[in-house]
Amino acid sequence: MIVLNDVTYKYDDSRRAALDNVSLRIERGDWISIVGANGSGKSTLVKLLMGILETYEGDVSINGIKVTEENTRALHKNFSIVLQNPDNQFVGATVEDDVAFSLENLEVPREEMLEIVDTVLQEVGMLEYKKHEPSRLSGGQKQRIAIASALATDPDVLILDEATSMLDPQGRRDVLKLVQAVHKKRKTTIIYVTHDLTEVFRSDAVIVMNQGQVRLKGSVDTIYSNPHILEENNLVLPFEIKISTALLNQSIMSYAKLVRKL
Amino acid sequence: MIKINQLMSIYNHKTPFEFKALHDVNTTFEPNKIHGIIGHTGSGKSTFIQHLNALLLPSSGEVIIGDTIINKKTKAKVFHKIRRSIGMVFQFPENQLFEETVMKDVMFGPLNIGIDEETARKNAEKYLTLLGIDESEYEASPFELSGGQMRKVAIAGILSMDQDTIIFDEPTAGLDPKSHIEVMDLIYNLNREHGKTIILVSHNMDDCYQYTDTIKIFSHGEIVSEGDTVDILQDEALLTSMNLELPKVARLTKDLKARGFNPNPPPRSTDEFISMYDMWRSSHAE
Repeated sequence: MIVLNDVTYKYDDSRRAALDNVSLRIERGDWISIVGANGSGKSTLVKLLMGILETYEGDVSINGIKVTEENTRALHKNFSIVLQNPDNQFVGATVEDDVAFSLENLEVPREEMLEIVDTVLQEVGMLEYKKHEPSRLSGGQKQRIAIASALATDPDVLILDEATSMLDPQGRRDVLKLVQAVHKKRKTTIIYVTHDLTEVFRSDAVIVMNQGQVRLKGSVDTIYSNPHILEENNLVLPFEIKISTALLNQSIMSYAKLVRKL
Repeated sequence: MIKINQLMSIYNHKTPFEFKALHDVNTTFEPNKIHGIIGHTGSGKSTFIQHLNALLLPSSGEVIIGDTIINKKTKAKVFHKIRRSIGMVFQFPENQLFEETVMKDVMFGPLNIGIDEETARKNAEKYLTLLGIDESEYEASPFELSGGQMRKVAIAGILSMDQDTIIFDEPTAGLDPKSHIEVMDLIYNLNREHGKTIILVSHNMDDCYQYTDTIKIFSHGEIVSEGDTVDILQDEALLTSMNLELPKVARLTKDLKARGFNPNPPPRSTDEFISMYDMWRSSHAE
């Protein structure tokens, strides 16, 4: 469980707080989506959750232990992250090397390492690309490799920071489906950062951020039932909800139901 | 007018790595319209647009831009002329920002193609304003801006060369929803208010439906279908065969047709749908 209590963070050269009194609770095994426009504080929150930021105000605890400068490495050891641009995170010359990188760092014995690499590549449906150069893959395939690398260390928490925003529609669907499969199979805690409200429907909870503050949090139903708050915070409503809100005065989530009701 | 005759494009010609990216492409782009280009990754779209401003030369066939012909023998001095009439906004153009200030970066392009300093500055101011970049940002470093702002500055840098035709390759990829709408509205205005011909490469079927006048679908290095946007993007059988989806508004309009909602011309955006459906419903109720 990750708990943030009144956390405020300012970058050195900025007057405005990048995180402003943020409090939240993430239960083990939950899928939490963090949504917000560019500059809303999402990425700062991700850095905080990864244990990269120091000198913030307020408290952060993981599994009941308060995060301090001394124990932050140990507490964040089982966190993995997938970034927006897959090209920024490849280190290996082949897909296989890349996935093995974090395991090499952890000095996992070679036999075991090769087994893990095959297992995670199988899991993301990319085993046949093992010997390929990462740079020659499509965007969606690259992100699947990035997810495989993230899974190699069997993380407790998997953070995806706008991992689909640079992909074509097929790539987006593939990555979202894969995250669902991982969440279901491994019970990994998922922290899913996005500005696309159509991608949050599988979440256990959604957090809407703007100007460093949490503006709304709750279940997917709660979020979709507050279209005006979403719009105020520079987000665009999913198609079905925009139409049902305007024409039916309610927030219908599925397309089939929208067609029936219109 | 841009005309393409039997364009063929082969990478690594006469080597074991030879790859035919385009074969026998024939098409035209009428001026003063917004033309959409769609198709899957690897369909030849990106190769095709690089031929339109002579970044690639035809392996055979020709590209005719106004009175200039580009074929495999075209010399470098012709490129200069082409690039004064066709501008290209690549994917993630913010990666190409490099100057110390926003103003210097935007003026670099026009100065580089020989536009005088005064005109370059005037163009820069015009397009920065159009993109909503405040004067107070002109002397800031482009690298201190947010992602959406950086994208806009990079686009202003291309527009400041004031070409008649602008090619946009996935201009909204990676942008947040608000910047996405701002950039698409800008592209629309460049055409409708400023008379630019626009060629838009996009995966976003909803944007293509809302903003373009014509559509060309690429598949396996060929144009498999082209025509008016409404005709092409309402053709479910065609789109399905290309593994593409109907735009959401077109899908919903189609699904409501059986109830008698069948406006002509059809709504092209979510907002248009809402107001047209609302009107139809109230007239229906009486």
